[in-house]
Amino acid sequence: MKFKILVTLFLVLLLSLPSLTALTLSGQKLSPIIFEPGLVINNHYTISETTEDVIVKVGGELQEYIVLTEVVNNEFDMIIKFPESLQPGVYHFELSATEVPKSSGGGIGSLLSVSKRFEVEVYSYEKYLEASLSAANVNEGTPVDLKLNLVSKCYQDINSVRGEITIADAQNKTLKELITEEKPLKALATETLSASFDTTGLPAAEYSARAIVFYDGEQKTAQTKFRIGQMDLVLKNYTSVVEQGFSDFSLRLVNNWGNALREVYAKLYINKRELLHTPTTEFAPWEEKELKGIINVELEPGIYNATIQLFFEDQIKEIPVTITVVKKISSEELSAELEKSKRNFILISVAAGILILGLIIAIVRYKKTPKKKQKDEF
Amino acid sequence: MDVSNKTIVVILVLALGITLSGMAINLNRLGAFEGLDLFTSAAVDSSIGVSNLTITSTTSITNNYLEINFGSGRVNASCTVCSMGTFQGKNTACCLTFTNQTAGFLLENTGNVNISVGYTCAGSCTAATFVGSATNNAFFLWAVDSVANPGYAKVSEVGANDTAKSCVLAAPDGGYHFDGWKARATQTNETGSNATLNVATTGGWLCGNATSYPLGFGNTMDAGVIHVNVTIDQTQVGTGGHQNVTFTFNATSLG
Repeated sequence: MKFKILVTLFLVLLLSLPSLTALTLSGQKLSPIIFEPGLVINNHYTISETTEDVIVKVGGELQEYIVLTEVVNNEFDMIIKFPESLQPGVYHFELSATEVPKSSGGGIGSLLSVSKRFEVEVYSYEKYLEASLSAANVNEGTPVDLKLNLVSKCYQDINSVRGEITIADAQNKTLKELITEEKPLKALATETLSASFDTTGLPAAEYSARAIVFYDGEQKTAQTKFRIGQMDLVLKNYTSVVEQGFSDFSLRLVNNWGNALREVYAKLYINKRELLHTPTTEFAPWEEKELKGIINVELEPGIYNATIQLFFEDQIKEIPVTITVVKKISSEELSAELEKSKRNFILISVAAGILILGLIIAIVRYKKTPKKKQKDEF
Repeated sequence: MDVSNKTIVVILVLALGITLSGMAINLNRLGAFEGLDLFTSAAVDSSIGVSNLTITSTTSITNNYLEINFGSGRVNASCTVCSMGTFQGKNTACCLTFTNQTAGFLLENTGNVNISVGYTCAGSCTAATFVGSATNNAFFLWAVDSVANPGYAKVSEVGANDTAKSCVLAAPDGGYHFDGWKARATQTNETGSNATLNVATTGGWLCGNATSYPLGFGNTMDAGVIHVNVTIDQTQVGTGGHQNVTFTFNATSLG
């Protein structure tokens, strides 16, 4: 009895021993690192979870500029000392921590290793910037704020940056040319140039803006689009084919307005009979979403003129549409149709096979016939 | 065997102590006690109450199944080969006395960043050195989702067990998706079914690569199982030898 207890205790001991292994390397994220001449980065790392000895090392490019301090209590620092100059481009290096086995076990064993891969971006030494243009959608009569965002990607200060922005309509007809303020741009810094476009008198539509950025004898371009909206709900799509009986019906609508639209719902009429009244909802500014419902179609298959009524705020918008009603195919009919298709396929295959076989026999006989004739002639 | 009550009590206390220690180690690995290490914070200006929060990037991998040992055995004279694998088990008719192993290495992303997973091999890494076979596919790896692992029930993940296909996240730059675990020497943006990988010292990628890290850290899809297959030819009977192989599984993330 006591022996059994001892065995049980031994098994409990075995089960309670750690049955997994893990390796963790923690430190502040650095990538992507933007190279700056002479920059020194000191990042602290902690190794944890493992019960094995661990070696840490750096591999890849730029190793000559990276030093690892001694690992003390599973903690160490990685010190990057950038030189005064590096060729422009992207460099990669890896910091890895790898378990070292204390003893070699039998069979197929495993160890763990973790690596952190760093990306170093070296910008141009010539004057260089990246530009992007942004403009928010607005309601009719509201001015558009245009923002020209500039990012210096070089190690030289730029003395002067300014932008010229051309506004055009959908037909690419120039409507206005705007000049932004002029500013200096420090090396590796960011800056925003602004301009305002008065939309008074312009109809609701989509417009484009194209900017040319001039900086110390160089130039870059950037462009964007924006929309002038009005209180309107636009029907983008709807279910145009429905089955007889109960059928799903959906409408995809867009709020063409820079404010929320409340009390939004839709109705569908076919032959002046209301088939659908969707639940009421609200559209956020410029939001696109779907209204759904189930309709009961008691009409013969065919094409019908219908009307979709859109209700929003205190307005009603009527849109004439066409709806095609098709016969509903039951699952039994579908199975029968599938079975019929299979049968037809087999019949066609057999017929084609017989035809090909007949053709082969005919060719063989045709080839044999002249020889026979020739023999007969002798 | 005669053991006194006093001895049992001593062993019982000892067992309790070791059990508690083991539990503490496991709990620590489960993450219960490491929350304090994840965040560091310091107020930089007490007058306006601004605080600075630094979230550390933790790259971590856990192997939930440490060793696969097929033991020793022989190929049945009636068979030309003996095939054993952690995915499909051993061919019992042909592999005599070898230990049936049905659980592969269960690797899990236990950090807080997405990772890619690769391996290197040390020891008898080729078919020729491990099983003495000239056939290069006699010793290979096969990486699969943990949710598709038949030996899954044998070990559990540190976090919750996966419920969805893993290794499918987009590249950090919004590029292509990986279509799950694949054991391939070079992994490109092609998709396809799982493939096997002949074991080589140089190793290879099992999920993602040096620039794409498709294995997420969310508990529902953060693990994969690396299965091992071995095929021993009948001609190897009597060659003997006990070969050791050590796989080092590597987790790579953005630094």
